Amino acid sequence: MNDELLRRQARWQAERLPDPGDAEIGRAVVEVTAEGRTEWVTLNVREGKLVVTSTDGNLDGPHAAAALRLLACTPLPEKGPEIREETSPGTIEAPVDPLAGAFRHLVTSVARVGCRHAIGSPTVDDALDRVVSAAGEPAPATLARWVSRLRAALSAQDIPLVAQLLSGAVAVEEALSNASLAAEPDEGLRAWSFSRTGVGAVETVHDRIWIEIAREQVAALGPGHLQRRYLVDLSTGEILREESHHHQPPLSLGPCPRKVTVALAEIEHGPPPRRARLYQYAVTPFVEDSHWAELAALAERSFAAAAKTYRQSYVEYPGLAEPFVLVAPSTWEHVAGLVSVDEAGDALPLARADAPGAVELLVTRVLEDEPRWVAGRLQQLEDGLVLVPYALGALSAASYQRLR
Amino acid sequence: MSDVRLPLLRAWLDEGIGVDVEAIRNELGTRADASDAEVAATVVTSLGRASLLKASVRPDRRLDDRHSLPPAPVGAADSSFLGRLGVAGEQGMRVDRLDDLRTLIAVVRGGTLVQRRAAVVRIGALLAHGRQDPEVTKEAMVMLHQLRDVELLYERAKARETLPGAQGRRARTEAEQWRATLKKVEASVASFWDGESRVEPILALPGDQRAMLLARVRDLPDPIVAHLSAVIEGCDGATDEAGRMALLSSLRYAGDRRLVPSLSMLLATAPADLAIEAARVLGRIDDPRVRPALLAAFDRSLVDSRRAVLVGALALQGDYRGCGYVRELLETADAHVRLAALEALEAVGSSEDSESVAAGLEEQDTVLLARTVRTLARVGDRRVLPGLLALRERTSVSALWAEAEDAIAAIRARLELRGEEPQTGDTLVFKVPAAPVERKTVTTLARLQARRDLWVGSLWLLLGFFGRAMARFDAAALRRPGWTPPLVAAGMAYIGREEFARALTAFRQAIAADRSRLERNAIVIKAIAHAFLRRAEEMERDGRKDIARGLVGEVLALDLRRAPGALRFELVRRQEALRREAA
Repeated sequence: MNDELLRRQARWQAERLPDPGDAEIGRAVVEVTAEGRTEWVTLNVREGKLVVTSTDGNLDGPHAAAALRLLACTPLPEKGPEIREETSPGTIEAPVDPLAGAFRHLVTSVARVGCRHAIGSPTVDDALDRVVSAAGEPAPATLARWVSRLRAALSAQDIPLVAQLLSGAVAVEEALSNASLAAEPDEGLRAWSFSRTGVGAVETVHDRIWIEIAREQVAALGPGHLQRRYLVDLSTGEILREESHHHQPPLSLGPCPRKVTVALAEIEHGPPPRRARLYQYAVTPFVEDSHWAELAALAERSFAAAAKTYRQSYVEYPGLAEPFVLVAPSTWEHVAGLVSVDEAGDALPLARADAPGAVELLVTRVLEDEPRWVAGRLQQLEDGLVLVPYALGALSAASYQRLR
Repeated sequence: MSDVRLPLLRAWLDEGIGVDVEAIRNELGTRADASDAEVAATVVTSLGRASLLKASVRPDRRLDDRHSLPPAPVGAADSSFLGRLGVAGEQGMRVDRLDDLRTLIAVVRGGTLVQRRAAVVRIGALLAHGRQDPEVTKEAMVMLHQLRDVELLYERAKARETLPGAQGRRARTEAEQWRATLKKVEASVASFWDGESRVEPILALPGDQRAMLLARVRDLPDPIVAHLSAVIEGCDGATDEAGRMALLSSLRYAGDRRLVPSLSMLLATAPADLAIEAARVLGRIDDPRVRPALLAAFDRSLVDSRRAVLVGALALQGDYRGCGYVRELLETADAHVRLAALEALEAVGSSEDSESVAAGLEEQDTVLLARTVRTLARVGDRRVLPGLLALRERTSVSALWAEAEDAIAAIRARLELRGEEPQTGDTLVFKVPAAPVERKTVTTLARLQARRDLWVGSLWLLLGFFGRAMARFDAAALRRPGWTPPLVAAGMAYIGREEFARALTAFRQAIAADRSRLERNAIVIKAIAHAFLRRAEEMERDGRKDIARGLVGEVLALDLRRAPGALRFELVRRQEALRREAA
């Protein structure tokens, strides 16, 4: 994350909180990523002196230096000229936040060039590079994923998806530009730029049972893929997401499926499925039938409700949401292809295009023994939602099948 | 937002607003001096909101009609009986509908992997019904007993378990032993994830036990397969990349579709060596998800040796694209690439490739030569029989004899299935080498004394007097030089005490005395292979990998057809791993 952005956000939030009075800071713990490693730097005040420790043991290294700069509020070197947007003739707008300006420039470039010409367009490529550059090194995982999705949408000429993704860029550009004027905290902005921010941005949980039902690797900017795991919290029914990109700490251990007994975890507020970080946990591949039965009971039985949640998540987190659902069809129908149908008679087709082999396998399973639930990503096509299936199951361990 | 405007918004974003931004401003109702950025923002947010309204479900039964299915498989151009013979779920002639045991035996020898698997299953089913001609039944049972094709280990084990008589009993005993090993492994896996042990339990097993366990992956319970997936994905927290590679290569013949998601993930994102090994495992799994994953990897792959492996894996899935490409690779000077091409041709090749592959019978490199013979077993026709015979005459390596015999049997089986009659010249008689001539100084008395020493030594061993037993075995060997039983007895005794180095000494002497006799004895050859493998593992642990490589190479030069297939597979796997490390 960009330090200047962090300080700006801190300043903005601090101005909205009551005067702390004569509170004293005894210790600050900062997570710093540099040279491809993430370390924790602790800044302690002992007997009036500042004592610095780092998990890599190197007090002269970049991690300790970055933490000290943050505390000292040392200005950083100039990053380069502000982006100046030339608009209608004779009008020159005032300089904007670099990241906001980069997003604005990107939206304008894509719209000017048009989606059908955007792939391979030097203007659009340059605009994307500016966004990534303005976000700082390394780019946040959310941004890395967003850029990858935008490129894929442009490549596939998926105009509605391009519009939704760019809507997210417009929203964050406005939020960044108006950060000092906004009256309400911007959850969407936090979800874009931060892995963990400020007060109330994370929820700490403990003593939970989570069942991982699916995992995947998705494209993201930079080397390697974004690894994702989808876990169901048996207490709340919420689907959570564990995620890691190449520069981040590795994910928790264990196969899929697995039972995770959570002693301590954090869940970030953000687009669904919300991102979770496991700190203390136990894991086993032996998942009891009772847990599978609980999970089946949590599955959403109304496709209309799932669709509503889908739309809501895109409205709240435009450009970021990738909704993952656990649904329980009432029945399966074969209409020149397999379609799941809920109790109200609504149909949710399967995305054959994205997972042809998985759908074929699902068809075989339905013929042998109808699964009770299916988990997967909802995706929007021209005429409605489809489900990309990732896993299916019923009431027992033997019925679970990982499709991807 | 009206439906009328939605197409306009789409068109603007699709074609670009730069063409006539003035008109767009008017249509949107924005200010006349609104910047391009403002117009762009309005277009995308309006379109985003409008299209989101369509994110819904409806009662009508629609389908995903996007064209995205993977390209149709490229079929093999073989119109013969074998080329048209399908398996369960396909139209037309099918293996599971054949009732003639002789035809099925020929398919086991000469068919593709899918056909061979189906044929073994069908033979097992027919024998279990017991309504076959006794002579042919006996022939089928002997074939099952002697079948050493490592690709068919699982199907063979299942078929044998249903047989009556000694063979069936032996198979059921082996199954019980497997279940006992599994029970221990389950407990170890549970302890591992409970944090009681930091050592991954399956890789910690001795190589032969691991091979036996993983020969029946399809019978493993789901949590154990999930554990295997975690290890190969690198999510167990205890296994390094070398360990992942070792386990992955041990799973080559697993054929378990529960592994497909993990293997597909490795194929797409793991380092090249792991990805290619994952391709080999995937190619042998009957699952609709496999071919799309292999195709995607094939399209991405640029390195010849890796691309060749993918061609082979696709061919195992019934997609023969890349055949011409692999044929060209056979001409390359790079031995590594030629090896990969030969591997691929086993699956993707046809009788057209007989002669070009048979040119490799002049190779000096025994690894390339063995691979050439194995490929000829799958694609060769009558034209290569003389070459195989010549190889058999000139080589002194037992393993190559065995490969040549298997290749000839497979080619003859294919000739039979094509309705061709083998000509006289095709008949090969393999003379069993005569036992070494014993020294003329061995008198009858000495022979009797040697036999007595052997019996007494065995008795001492039974009573637990190891030193005395060894002394007796030594005495028997000295009295009757060239007589292998006391040397074998000593070797077996050392194995019992896990003194594999000493066991090797005894077995080497026995091999030098009468190799072919030992190779024909299933119990002895199994013990020899076991001792060499365990000693090689010890050397590897001590960091003496060259010696380990030599030991594995030495035992693989023997005719191991009568050793358990899983043990042979583990030796081959270890040889490949050691060679990779040395490279």
